[in-house]
Amino acid sequence: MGGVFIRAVELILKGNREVLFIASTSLRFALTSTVLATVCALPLGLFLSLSPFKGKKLIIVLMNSLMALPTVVIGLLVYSFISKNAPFGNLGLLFSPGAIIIGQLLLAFPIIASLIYSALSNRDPSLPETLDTLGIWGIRKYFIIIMEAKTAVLSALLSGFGRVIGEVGVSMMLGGNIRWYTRTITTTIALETSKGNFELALALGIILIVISLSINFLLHVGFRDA
Amino acid sequence: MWGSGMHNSITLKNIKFSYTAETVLDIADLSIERNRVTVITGPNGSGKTTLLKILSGLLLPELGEIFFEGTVLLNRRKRKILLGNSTYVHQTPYIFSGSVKRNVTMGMKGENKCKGLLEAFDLAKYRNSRASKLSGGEKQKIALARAAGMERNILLLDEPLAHIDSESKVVIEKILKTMSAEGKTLIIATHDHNFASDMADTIIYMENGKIVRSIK
Repeated sequence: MGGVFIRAVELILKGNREVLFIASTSLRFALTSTVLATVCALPLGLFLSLSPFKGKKLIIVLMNSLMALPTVVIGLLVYSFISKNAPFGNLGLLFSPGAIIIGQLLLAFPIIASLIYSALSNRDPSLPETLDTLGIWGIRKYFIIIMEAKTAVLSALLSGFGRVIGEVGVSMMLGGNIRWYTRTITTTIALETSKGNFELALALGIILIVISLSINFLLHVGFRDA
Repeated sequence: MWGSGMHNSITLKNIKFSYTAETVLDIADLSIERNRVTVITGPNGSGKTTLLKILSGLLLPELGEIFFEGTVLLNRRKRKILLGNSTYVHQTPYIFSGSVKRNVTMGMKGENKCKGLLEAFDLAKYRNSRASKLSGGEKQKIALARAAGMERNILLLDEPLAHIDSESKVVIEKILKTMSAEGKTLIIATHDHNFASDMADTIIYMENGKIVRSIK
């Protein structure tokens, strides 16, 4: 086992082309889907935290429930829309990076929206009134509200990123695990482990652990005093 | 009637407001005189804060009319007229992240007045300190300096002397008296009877959401 570990570390340190490609592909998919999910989740979280309306609790319960949705269910859902004979089959998205990003977006969206809503709901209730009375309205008001909760909002983004970088179901079902195209860290680990090729699987596992630790480090240390 | 009012700044007529089913404010007729100090007093839950928020434009009543300088304010858009002419300071003011200077200049156009405000409110030594780390009294002074920097004619203060030390009280009282002398319209909710009688041109007593007495 020690020898396998050493060879795995060597793969990383020597800059193995396939390891780098797979790691960069995973990061690219996860970053893109997190950014897109944030663009959709931020206005929703803000709206839910600031506006009282009928049915608000239902939306919040729904979002909280969707946070725990299994990745294979999201994979199945998206698959049913983009497979050959499905409504969006003619777009040719199945087994492409686009399909993985759509699936990961759906995975991250409820997590980010829900956590942003929680973050903004826990703010001091006098903040919006203070901004109103200072004549700060419109987009600037919402921007300041988000910035005042920036640590919690960043935590929400990183939680969403953490969820998609480590998922396997969506990438496998919608990306097809195609070498040099849609193969990600998690799908490679699953494949290479089943083939008995532990070096590559372990090298990618180490990279995934480093990414996860970095996220946790950012969450608990980097943004503590932001 | 509002028409009487060259001397009136804000007039409320038949105002009703509720947060839930229960009416928490029921004001038949109230005129706030311009350039005067009006103090609102009464027990906890008597509706002082709600009244201040309606007078500041932060809350819109369900029923009744608000007049400001001859204009009736009927909807949310017109409410901004009142918001734009007044500044409301919460009992526990919101302190923004960052420095005292950032807090004082929040909402101000430019930073020209910042230095003078910091000195007037005895905050110059905290200029670059993190505002959230300061005491309750200093935070109250920051909120007042911020409100003063807006240069609005109407200043509404909710319990400005609550939870602060005697030294800060002296500074705040002095500043409020200066503002009053400069012709600002001050509307202050307080439990402090000495402060009320010392500052007020008019004292309004409230109970259960209604004005029970008004003394000039």
